[in-house]
Amino acid sequence: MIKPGWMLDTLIFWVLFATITVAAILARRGKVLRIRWLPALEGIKDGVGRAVEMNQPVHFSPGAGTMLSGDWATQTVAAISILAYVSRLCAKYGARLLVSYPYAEWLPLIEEAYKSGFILEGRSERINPADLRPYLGGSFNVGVMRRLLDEKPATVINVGPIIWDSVDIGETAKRIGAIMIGGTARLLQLPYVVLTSDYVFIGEELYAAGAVASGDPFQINTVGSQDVGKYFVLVMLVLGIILLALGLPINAWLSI
Amino acid sequence: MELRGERDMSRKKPRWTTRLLNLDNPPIYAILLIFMILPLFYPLNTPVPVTAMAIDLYNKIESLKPGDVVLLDFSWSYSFKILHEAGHVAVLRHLLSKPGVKIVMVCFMGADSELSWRDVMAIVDIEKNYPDKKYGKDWIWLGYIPGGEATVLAFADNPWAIAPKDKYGTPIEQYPDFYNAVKTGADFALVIEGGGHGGVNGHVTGGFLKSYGLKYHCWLAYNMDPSVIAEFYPYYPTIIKSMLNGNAGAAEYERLLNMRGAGSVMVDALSMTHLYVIALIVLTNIVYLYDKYLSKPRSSR
Amino acid sequence: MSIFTTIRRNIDRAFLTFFMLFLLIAYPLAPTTDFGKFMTSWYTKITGWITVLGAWAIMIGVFALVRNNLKNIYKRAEGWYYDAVTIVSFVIFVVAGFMGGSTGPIMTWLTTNVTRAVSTALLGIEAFLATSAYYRAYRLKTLDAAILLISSLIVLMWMGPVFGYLFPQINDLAVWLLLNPNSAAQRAMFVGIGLGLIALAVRSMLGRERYGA
Repeated sequence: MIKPGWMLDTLIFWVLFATITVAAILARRGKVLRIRWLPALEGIKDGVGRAVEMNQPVHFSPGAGTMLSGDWATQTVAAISILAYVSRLCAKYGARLLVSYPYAEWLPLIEEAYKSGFILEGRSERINPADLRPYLGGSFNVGVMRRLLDEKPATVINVGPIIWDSVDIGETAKRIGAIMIGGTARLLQLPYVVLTSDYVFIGEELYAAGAVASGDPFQINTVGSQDVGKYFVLVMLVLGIILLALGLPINAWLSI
Repeated sequence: MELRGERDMSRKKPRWTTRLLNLDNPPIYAILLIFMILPLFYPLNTPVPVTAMAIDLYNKIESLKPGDVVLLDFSWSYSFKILHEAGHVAVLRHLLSKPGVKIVMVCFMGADSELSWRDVMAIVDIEKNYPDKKYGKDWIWLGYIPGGEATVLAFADNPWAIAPKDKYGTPIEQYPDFYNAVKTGADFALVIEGGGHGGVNGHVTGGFLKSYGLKYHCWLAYNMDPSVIAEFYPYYPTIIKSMLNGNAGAAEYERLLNMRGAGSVMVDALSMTHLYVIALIVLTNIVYLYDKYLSKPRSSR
Repeated sequence: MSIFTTIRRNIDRAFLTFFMLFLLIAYPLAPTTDFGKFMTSWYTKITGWITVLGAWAIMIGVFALVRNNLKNIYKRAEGWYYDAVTIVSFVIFVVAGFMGGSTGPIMTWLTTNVTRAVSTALLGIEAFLATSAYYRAYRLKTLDAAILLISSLIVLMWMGPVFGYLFPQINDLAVWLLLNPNSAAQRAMFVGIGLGLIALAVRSMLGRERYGA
């Protein structure tokens, strides 16, 4: 019934899926996993504080590659979770939040995340729809650079499916003396994000950030239980090396 | 006599090394612009060593037999045509020179990638340069098929269910050379994806990798955007057999075909700008290390 | 809480969970049994609906964008003239699209002479910004920075054809770097990212991917 060669992959996927689901449900019984705090989240807090002290805004952008399908959509969802966290911090400490986005179809979600923080902190009077600005298509990089030069935010946050905006926005942030916080699960852009940012969400930290920042035990358990998968991969690696060295037909076994 | 360290401490102007390490952008950009423009006036005819990947693709196309069907994809946004056009022109010319090889042309990226196809066809000019190649018998154009990755995967599973007609509205059944020869992605003798945008998880590039590469084990080649090529190396050479590295890859392919096209022309500017960037980085680091040395107190130098 | 209120509050999550589970179960099935054929045919249909959903999302986004821009223009908000340019460009492209489709003469002219020209110019800026980023960031400050610098220089030299001619070993060294340390690190990151995606799917399905919670 399963496609040839897919049996093992399917089994491993469902075991991991079940593990993460069970760990998440166990949060209800008070069994919460301890996970490390992400340094970039601390950087966001420091950045918002800096913005309040300097009486300058915070700028957020979800990456120029926000698309509706594929892996990039999931990165955008993760970026929007971080936007909700940033929005809440800005509402709590009284910083202005500017948001730039490249595609119109994400506007409803971005609007919701932007407003949610202010509403939860009881500061809905500070919501300013004019602070959400679109720079559609190819003009995103240059539009955001212009906005940064005009508004001079104290903190620039650019997380999500980044294309080339890591270099453009990072360079401009350096020029205006802002703290740059970047993050992406696009491996190709990670070196540029690391080069130009002061704090970085690397790969899976992007997906974990929203969950960790929320403090919700359910979400934290889904992040912590991913380590089961990593230990599994490590064990498979070591076993695989040993069995290959012994000359056993690993490829045939893994192709079931 | 003042010691150098004491003089440094009372100095109002920073050292030349510190000033060099904190240059503003205009001088850097100005020199880069000169290096870019110079080859326009003084063509350098940069030698281009041919890499194994270009040779592999060349040999694969040489080994194609009459009746083999090739999928040629034009999935790059029109603004990126400068990166991919040269490579596709060279590859298409080679494919058209092979007797009996059939070519299915398609794009999945966006409606503007049809303009990319139009420009490639204008350069290749099949009617004039390859009069024996007939539309419907030797090549067909399916146009832009929307839907992103889901469409790419579905097209690989059953191409004529996703594209029952060509761009001009003719049902594919009226092209039996194609309709009967290809039932799934596995029936393509060669698949060449143009673009590479988005990396391995891009909605078109990733779709090609997952379907033609991982599922159907086709001979998969990419005419790649050079900025994403590093991300595809984990899949080379087991799943991806060849990658043309943008204009440099196009220039290599043109060398193999003994022709001088856009790739060869652009390689001059490519080499000059890379030379400048490398020289800038190396010189900056030499100055940085010297600046560190000068910052130490004289006694500890 | 009445049953209707419960349904109303949870129906979107129920749909999401059902379709996600369906696609996850159907994806690895082969159409060799009746059940497999049923599941794979519905899988193809549902993935086709994704295109339709995407079109709806674009429509909603466009309406929201036009609404916001018109509000800013009416209120003379900061930068309202940029919003006016957006609306005018939007109208021009929509009218051009209706008059001949996406490959009609007007749209082709606009794409060739406006969009492509502007996009290529914007792309051209990247070279300069990247150069200044390399100039400022690639400094031999720490051991990590030195490793990053040396490997970047090798790959930069590989990308410039003249270096491959002057130093033929660069090609082998760069390919070795890309095939070995680069691939190893990327594969490890793929594992982590894949697990992160599974966790995100679990949170979405169980309705706990909440904002600001």
